[in-house]
Amino acid sequence: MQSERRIACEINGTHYEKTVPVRRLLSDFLRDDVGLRGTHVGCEQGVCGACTVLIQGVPMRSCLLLAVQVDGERVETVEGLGTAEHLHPVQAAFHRHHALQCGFCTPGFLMAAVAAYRAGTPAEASAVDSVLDGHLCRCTGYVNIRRAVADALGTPAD
Amino acid sequence: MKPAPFLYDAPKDESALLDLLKTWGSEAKVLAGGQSLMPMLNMRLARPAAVIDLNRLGWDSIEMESDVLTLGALVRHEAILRHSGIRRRLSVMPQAVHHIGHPAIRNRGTVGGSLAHADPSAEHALLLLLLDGSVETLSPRGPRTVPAEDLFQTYFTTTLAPDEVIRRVRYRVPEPGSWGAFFEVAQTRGAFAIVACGALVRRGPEGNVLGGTLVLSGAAPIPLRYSVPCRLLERPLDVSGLRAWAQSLVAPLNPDEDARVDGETRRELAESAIVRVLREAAEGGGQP
Repeated sequence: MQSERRIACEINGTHYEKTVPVRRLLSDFLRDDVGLRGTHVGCEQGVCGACTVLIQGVPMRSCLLLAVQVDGERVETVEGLGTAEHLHPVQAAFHRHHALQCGFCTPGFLMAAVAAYRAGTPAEASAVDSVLDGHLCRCTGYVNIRRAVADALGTPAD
Repeated sequence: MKPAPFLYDAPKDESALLDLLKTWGSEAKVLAGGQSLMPMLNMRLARPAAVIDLNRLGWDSIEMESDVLTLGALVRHEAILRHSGIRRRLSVMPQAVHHIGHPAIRNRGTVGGSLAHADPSAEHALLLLLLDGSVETLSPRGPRTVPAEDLFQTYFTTTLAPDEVIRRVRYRVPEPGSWGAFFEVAQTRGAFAIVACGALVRRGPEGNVLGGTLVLSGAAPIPLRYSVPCRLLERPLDVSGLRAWAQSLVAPLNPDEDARVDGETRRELAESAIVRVLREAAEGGGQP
């Protein structure tokens, strides 16, 4: 039984090793220890979806994971998707469809959408709704987010 | 908020787990998917001295046999949804599991964690009762099997000891030709069920009704299981007979009230949910 642990993980393709308190949430580890503040913290209960990241390519709530639980795992955050010059196709679709306003919920939506994009999820209405399910947006009314996700899923992945 | 301080360990095998349970017993909380425990830790509704993480034990196997389905306690909800064998022989299970939270929650949440948490409105609690299930547990005193009807005591309380952990979950796979149905009323998709209902109609090789089970949650501190009179399940269905039976079931119940839904509304919702799932379960299925 320990109160802190050394963890080693891969974040957006880069190897990280750090000793952390065992009670540190993955969301706080990413933001404060690693300096990746794109992962947003909204509710710390798993409801809002803003903190969603990919663990081994699978969307999960980083506010409901302890940093020590990703020891040996592969983590992806919104920072790993693309750059301003080379947006990920999903980010480009969000841009085209004006699918963000304040941007607080956006990283969570993007990570969920990227997982679906990689899986070749079809752009059917029910499949698109499943991608959006579990993410709250207070600004947009979701319409443009839905359009962006449908557009991105309709485009075959390379 | 952030969790209060605790000690942590993630045993890699069962003997290490048992040592931890022996040492920490009631002072530890066991962590499975974390989709219920982590919010409680984050809001400091739970402040255990220690957290024992079960995620390194590899308890995630799904074994489908002709009459028994066995799930390791750490099987994620999403894995159940993706399993074609479960979809084929136990379609009521993915039907219900689909209502659990949201995709990211289902990617991490587990069947064992849900059962141990014993939320009375949880889909897995209902399914365990509906499908004649049982849990196999592990503790310093050895393994034991607890049938569904002996597992849930009251709100968020099982009969498990503080140092006892669910290791596997078993369900009876009904005869081919049997059919199940599930229905839940919730404020929004993925929200906690206000009322939920599951029905199973078991059929023999000629399509004859062998028996019927109904489970209702939202009307009591634990889900309630009933045997359905076979005559009500014979086709053509006597829908007014079903309604009368549903009414007789619900009338003596005293559902909790809350700010959103009063007791009378819960009773009405329960009655119509019961009729709905019984019709669906009795009209589906047939000769295998």
